[in-house]
Amino acid sequence: MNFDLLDRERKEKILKSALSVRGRSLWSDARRRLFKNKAAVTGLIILSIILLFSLFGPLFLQYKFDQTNWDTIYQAPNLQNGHYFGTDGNGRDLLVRILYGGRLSLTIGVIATLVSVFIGVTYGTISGYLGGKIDIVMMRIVEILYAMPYLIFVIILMVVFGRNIYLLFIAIGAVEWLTMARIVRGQTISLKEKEFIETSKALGQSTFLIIVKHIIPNLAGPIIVYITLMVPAVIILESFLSFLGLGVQEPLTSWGVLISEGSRDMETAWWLLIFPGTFMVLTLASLNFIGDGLRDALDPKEY
Amino acid sequence: MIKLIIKRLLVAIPTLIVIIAFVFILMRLAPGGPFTNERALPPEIEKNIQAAYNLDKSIPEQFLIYVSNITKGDFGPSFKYKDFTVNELILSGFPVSLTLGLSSIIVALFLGVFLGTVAGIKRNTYFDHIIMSVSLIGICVPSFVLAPILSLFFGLYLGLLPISGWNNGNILNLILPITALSLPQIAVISRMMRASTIETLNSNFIKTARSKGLSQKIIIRKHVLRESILPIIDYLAPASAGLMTGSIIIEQIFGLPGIGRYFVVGALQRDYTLVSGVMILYATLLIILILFSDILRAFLDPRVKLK
Repeated sequence: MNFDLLDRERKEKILKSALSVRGRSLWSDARRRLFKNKAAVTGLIILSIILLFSLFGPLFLQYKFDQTNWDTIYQAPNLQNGHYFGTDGNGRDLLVRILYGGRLSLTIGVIATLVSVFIGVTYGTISGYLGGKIDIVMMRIVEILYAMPYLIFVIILMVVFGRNIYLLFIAIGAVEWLTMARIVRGQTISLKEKEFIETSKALGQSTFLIIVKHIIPNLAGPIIVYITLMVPAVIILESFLSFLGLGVQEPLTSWGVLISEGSRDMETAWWLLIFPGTFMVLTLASLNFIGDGLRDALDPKEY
Repeated sequence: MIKLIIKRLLVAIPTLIVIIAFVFILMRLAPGGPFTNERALPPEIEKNIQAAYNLDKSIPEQFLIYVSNITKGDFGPSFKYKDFTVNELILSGFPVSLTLGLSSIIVALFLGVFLGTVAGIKRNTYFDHIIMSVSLIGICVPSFVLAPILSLFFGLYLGLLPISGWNNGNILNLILPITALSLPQIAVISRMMRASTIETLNSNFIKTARSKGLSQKIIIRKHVLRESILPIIDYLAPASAGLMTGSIIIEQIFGLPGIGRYFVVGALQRDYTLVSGVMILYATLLIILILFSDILRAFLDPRVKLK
């Protein structure tokens, strides 16, 4: 078709439609693939509901999370008096406590994951980018640390330095960075041979800036996938510690604390175990679904 | 082979020393010594106590004494269990924890490898889907949620199995703890096994074996399994670490008198010698396991020797 022969109106139309077609970047492609994945979408929906509930739910409930009432001890779930999930041994409303516990568990999950991602990315990029002997030594250290029973380390840290939430963030983050460091190192090694890195080097950019400006942004995909798979692991770890009485302390609560209390009282009050357990399992499952979906979406060759 | 073992030992021993040093430093950093008391003791008595526990010596000297005691297998007296040494406590708990841990890892390995292989061979059939969804439950339901639910259901509602106690290792008392402890590992192992079986089935040497006219059974047993089990062998050490930490909670829930329980009690009561003794024991066991899995891997995979 000869473009010159077309009348002006049609020309404009074609140009307009060409302008309205948007290029498909890697990210929009990934988003499309993610939303096609039914499991991942279900996970996203469930997770958003739990998040919204934990954030805003307590505003609409008539009880406070630390409000004890000696007249309502161990009440079974009851729709009439507003204790929808029943009450615990101190007469506190279970639903509010689950929502507050969710806030804390999810916060610890996210923050501790960010700590571990920060350590892992820094360590991995340095090791991968510098290479040579430094790389060998740094990776040997990771290998040795892999052999540690981490959790026992965390427990010892909590014992020695007292049970403190901030320490919990750091302690969990500090033991979970190893896999991140390995993944990042591998990716960095393949990235550093690319032309655009050579160019930056030739332009005289410093190593630090090359890592921060060019290497790390290109690692976004694996890092995001890893974060979604890491958060559930951290939530389990926190609950594990709280279960043993080494994590979050009363009157604050987390899912681990609630499950721990629930398993102690399950003979008389099954709801104390089943409801927090369900919330936690649903969250873990949705995060795993989202993580798997993201991995398939961002890295289509591998599944 | 011997070279490999020596090389690994050269890494393992410094690792162990680093762990011992780390534990030692943490114990010294910890606020409050074992004899910090509300009531001040007369200085002479305090001096005597400190001398008896070598606390009057310099820190490096104390470290050397500690290490030499450990190499002799002496972890010192427990701070909180009066009249017991850490050795006695560990020895009394060890058989329980060992039985629990060993049977769990054996169950996890056999079931995980079997289910994973079958799921990999029968990829995308109903069987595969069922195994994979069950294993997803194993991954998403942590053992401390699963264990109480299991004992609630089988112990209290159905009354089939005892929900707590050791009962001299009665098999009925062990079923629930072993199930709760091994299920997450079965889930992980069967997923890994499925993925690696699929990968192996697509590789060239399997095509060769097929074109030679070997039967499916022999291909699976002699060629596929041997190749696809390698990632599982590498996973052996992390799995054992998972079981060790898992057993801490499982022993707590099912009231089993194992090491994990002493560890928790020690941790909650700041019994530093007991905690560090258990920690060092766990680390030593893990290092031996890693050594073992490296050797096993070299044995199964001739390519490792060439490197």
